[in-house]
Amino acid sequence: MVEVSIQHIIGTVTLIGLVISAGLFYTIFTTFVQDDNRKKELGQISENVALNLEEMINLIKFSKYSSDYMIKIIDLPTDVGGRSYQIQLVNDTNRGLYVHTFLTTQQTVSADSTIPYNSGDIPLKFNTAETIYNINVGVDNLKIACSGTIYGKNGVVIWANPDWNNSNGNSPSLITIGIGWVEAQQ
Amino acid sequence: MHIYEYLFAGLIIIALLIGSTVMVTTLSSPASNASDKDQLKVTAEKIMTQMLLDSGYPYDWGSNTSVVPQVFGLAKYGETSRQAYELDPDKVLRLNEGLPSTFAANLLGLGNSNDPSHKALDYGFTLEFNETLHISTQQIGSGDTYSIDVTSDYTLPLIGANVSAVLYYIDDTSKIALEEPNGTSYLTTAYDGSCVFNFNTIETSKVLAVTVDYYGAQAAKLYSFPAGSGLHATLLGSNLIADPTQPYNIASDADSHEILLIQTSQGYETRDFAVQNIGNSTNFTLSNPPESSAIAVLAVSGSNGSNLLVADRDFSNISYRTIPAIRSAASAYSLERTVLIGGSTFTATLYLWRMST
Repeated sequence: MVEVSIQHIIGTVTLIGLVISAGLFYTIFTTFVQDDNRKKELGQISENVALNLEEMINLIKFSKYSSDYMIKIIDLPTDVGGRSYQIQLVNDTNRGLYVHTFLTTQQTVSADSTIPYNSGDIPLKFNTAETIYNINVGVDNLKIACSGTIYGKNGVVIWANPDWNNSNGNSPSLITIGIGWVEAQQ
Repeated sequence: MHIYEYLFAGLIIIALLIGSTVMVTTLSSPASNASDKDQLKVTAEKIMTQMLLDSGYPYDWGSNTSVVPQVFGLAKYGETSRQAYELDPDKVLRLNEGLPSTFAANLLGLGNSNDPSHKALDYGFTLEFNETLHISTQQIGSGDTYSIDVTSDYTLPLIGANVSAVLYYIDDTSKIALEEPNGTSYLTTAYDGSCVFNFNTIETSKVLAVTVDYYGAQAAKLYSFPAGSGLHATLLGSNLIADPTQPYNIASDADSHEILLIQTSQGYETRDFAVQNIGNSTNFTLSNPPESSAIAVLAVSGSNGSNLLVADRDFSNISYRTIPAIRSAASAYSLERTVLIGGSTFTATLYLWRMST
């Protein structure tokens, strides 16, 4: 009678342990798959922002003697798998300039994309200061909030501005680029 | 409850777990693959933008082979104006002439290409150039009558292409002279993609210069006649690099001309201008780099000035690869852009793939 009870106890505890282990494993596995998919989506967003920055740099280099701000408004997803994310411009000594995107609540889930332009002839500066700019674009006067790190959403602004002070006349002495969002349209 | 029943219940739980994980993996796989391809596409566009729209730095890294580029870009640099997708012929040629095959990967931020095993590379790529218009010429009879055929990339004859042709030859005084065709300088290709130019007969060494304009796509080429009789060299910067099988022998006072492509109201045509050289008989160097629109340099070669040397640039064999043995991986994304190099329209194709999954 005692032997039967021990067998049952062992069997039941083992079954309960197996169910808990299976549940844990499944949760960890699905979290891993979800994070992997989120990383890929973040990678796409990083690449997209880097492509737009790259195009903006080339536009600035093509536009001689223009000191105007150039802006491009791009629509990005408001969330990645139901979670908010942030976009950051990073200037690293070893890696150069790159776009870093990460989940707001889980910064280990992130992706990077380097900007191929590496400032050989015209220095490139990321504007990471939090600033409000009033920029005239055609008939619109846009109030654009800029920051080195922004939340991903519709209406993200990529902007660039050439500095012609102390230039040799053929190309600007510095290109400042940044990201932000349209705060108001006046 | 017997031990077998516990085992059976445990097996069912494990089977359910395996089934669920397989389902999760299978269901997320297509979305994951699509996401990978989309990302590769945007990365390819980013890389292509940098390569074809930026002139790199130093700006003369193509013609000045002693410098190593700090910024990788193939666009032609202009002090006063620039045209999008117009590439510097020397920079394109240098891709196959001494620029390490993995060099660009570092500058483009595609990973550390200094690792000989390429394990540190995130991406591999191949960049190739293919002519948009194909020209072939044929001498008809023993006189100077030439049939010019224009075909597309798929060898289809192109009807209505605007063609011009002139002959450059060595005259009695061992100087380079120009012979224009009898009748009109411009002809339009017929239904079979061909047209025929007739010149007065010239007995000395000669070169037929052909330009084609087909609704914005253009091509300019030079052909030596009789076929195989002329000397050929490669024009790189100010240097005329002889083919190993065709060493030239040019006197320091020999006549030499650069051939420029000019756009007129009727279409494109070539013009020639005398250029000076500072080289010797076997290592010919121009005093100044040729004009950016120059398609070739002609020079009188041989001890008695009897041979006409054509130094031009051939872009059709350019294939710049991060890994020399691999042209394209199965998972590669390819992206095409139409570019202008040395007066001719080319299709630049980029194959980009991930080095690891």
